[in-house]
Amino acid sequence: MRARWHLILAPSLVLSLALLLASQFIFLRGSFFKDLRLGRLGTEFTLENYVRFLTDSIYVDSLILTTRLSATVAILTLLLAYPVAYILARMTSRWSMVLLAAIVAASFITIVIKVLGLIIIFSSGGALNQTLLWLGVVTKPVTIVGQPSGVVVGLMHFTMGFAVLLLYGVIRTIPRSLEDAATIHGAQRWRVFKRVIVPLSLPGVIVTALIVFNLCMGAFTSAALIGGGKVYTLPVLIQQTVIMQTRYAMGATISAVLMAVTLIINLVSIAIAAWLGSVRRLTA
Amino acid sequence: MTTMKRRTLIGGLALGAAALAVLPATAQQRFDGVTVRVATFGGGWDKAVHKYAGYKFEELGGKVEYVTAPPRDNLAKLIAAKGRPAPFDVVEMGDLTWVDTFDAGFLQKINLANIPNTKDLLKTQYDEWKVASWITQEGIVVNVEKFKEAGIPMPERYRDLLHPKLAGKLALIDITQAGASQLLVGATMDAGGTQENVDPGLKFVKDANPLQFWKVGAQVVTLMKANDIWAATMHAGFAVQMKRAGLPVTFVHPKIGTDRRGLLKEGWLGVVKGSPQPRAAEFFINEYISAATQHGLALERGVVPVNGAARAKLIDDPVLKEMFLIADSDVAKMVSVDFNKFNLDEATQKWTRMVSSR
Repeated sequence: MRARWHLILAPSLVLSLALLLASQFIFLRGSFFKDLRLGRLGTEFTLENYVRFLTDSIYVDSLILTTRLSATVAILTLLLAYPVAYILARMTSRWSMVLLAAIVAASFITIVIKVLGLIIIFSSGGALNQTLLWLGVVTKPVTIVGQPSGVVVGLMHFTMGFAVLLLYGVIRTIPRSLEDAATIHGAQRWRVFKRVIVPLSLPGVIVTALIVFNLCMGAFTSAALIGGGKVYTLPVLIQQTVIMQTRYAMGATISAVLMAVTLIINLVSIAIAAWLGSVRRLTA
Repeated sequence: MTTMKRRTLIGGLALGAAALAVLPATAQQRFDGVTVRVATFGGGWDKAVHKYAGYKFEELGGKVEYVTAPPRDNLAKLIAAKGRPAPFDVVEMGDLTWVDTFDAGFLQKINLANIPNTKDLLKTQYDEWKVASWITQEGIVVNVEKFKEAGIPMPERYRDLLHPKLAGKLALIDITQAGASQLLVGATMDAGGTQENVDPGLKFVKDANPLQFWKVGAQVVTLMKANDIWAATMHAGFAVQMKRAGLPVTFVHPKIGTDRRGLLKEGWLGVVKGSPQPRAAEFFINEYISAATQHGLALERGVVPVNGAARAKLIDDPVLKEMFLIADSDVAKMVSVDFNKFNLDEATQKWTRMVSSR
């Protein structure tokens, strides 16, 4: 008799769905009613909030900006995190554990502290800018505050640790003997990487990219603090709408759209990855 | 029993009865086993309030629990708890949040007889729904050294911050923060506008193109220390804290039009509707506005006391004397935002559109 291992997933799936739906249902239901402010909602079902979202440039531009920033962070984080994870996974020295522990510890630091640290590092009188000025790389200090690029840096700082940890786990599952076998058969280092490591780690890379992307789509602190009130991502707009204006229905609408778009991007990415995988298997 | 003895006994009983009648009014009421929940600001404000006011409640057997968040967040909690028991007994509000909290019916009437310290407040600073808890004076914090080095004249008005040498060296308060209303109204009135239409103030914000719109005061302090910004619109309390931390700053109360100078923002305390401990809440409010608490908060946190006796003492402190407008004649010339005229929702929409379209 075959063991039904997938049944093990059922409890956590049910729990996750229950927690997600229970916490979101009442809030999202509000998005279909008119906003009467101060948390009060109308009684008639309406799509007015969604129509407003789709026709008002503030919301549409913010959605595009949020998606663009999140995608940029996901790509840049992968590019930086992958080599670090690879080296750590292949290190035989005891230092690998020390470095990994340092990354784990750094991930526990609250994002507010990380962001304020970045602001100090990038301050005009800070060591980084002074060095760049001294080297003649820049003619005036580089600032990250109030810039979308600064928000990207802040989000990367936030997600880098998670990405390295995830990729480390992925690369550790690839037997080193496969690399050795490819090398023995004459493959160059770059070819081993391209034909062995990347294909085998691709599913994990995609999952890591999506996790980083999802974290960024909902990230508030970096955009709020580094964005300096000039970078209006959707989480910033949600906070402003719900807390400042107490327009719960519109806040719920923005949240619903954010969640739906994030979900769609995830599903499409997984579908594309699955399709690419099947194509590769056919052509192999 | 002789007539004399009878008279003595009756007299003694009468005196005893009189003493018993007077006792509740003079003896300190105890709050054994009573917990009063106070929604107030975080960032150390709650600790300062406890140091000067909360501990007195606990000395009488009670316990104080603080729910710390900005006023709008605490309003959100009241909205979320609608129909359920009050999440706290005392709520501290900004002058806009007070209007919304009252309109939404989240407050209950206060028995002012239980708050005798209102005797030191102006008549406009308390009524049966709210009691003023602090004043902040909104204006401009200036790094004096940097202005001197760059040859920038000290600003007298908001529009002086449009000096070309200040490009990229300025932080303005974000629209989500309470003091943004004062900034918009002040800049508008100085340009000849009225509180009903703050478009001139929004234009000033657009033209100023600051390095950032700040949401967290600590961030401005960090940027000021790093010399990334040389001036910021915030309240005088921040200037006091920065000066005490050794930064070369001063505070400018901006001129508004020909005869006004500076902007006021007030905090308010209210008792939450449905609070099971209204008497304890009123005791806490009374301690909060006492001269000792108000003076302590002024020294430690840089707010201006609502208590007149405490305000009079500030003149002894050179830093507070430099940063605050203390004299009644000066305070009378300050501008307050009238939230019946100023439409924050509309201003927020316009602000967001303006900033996000840059």
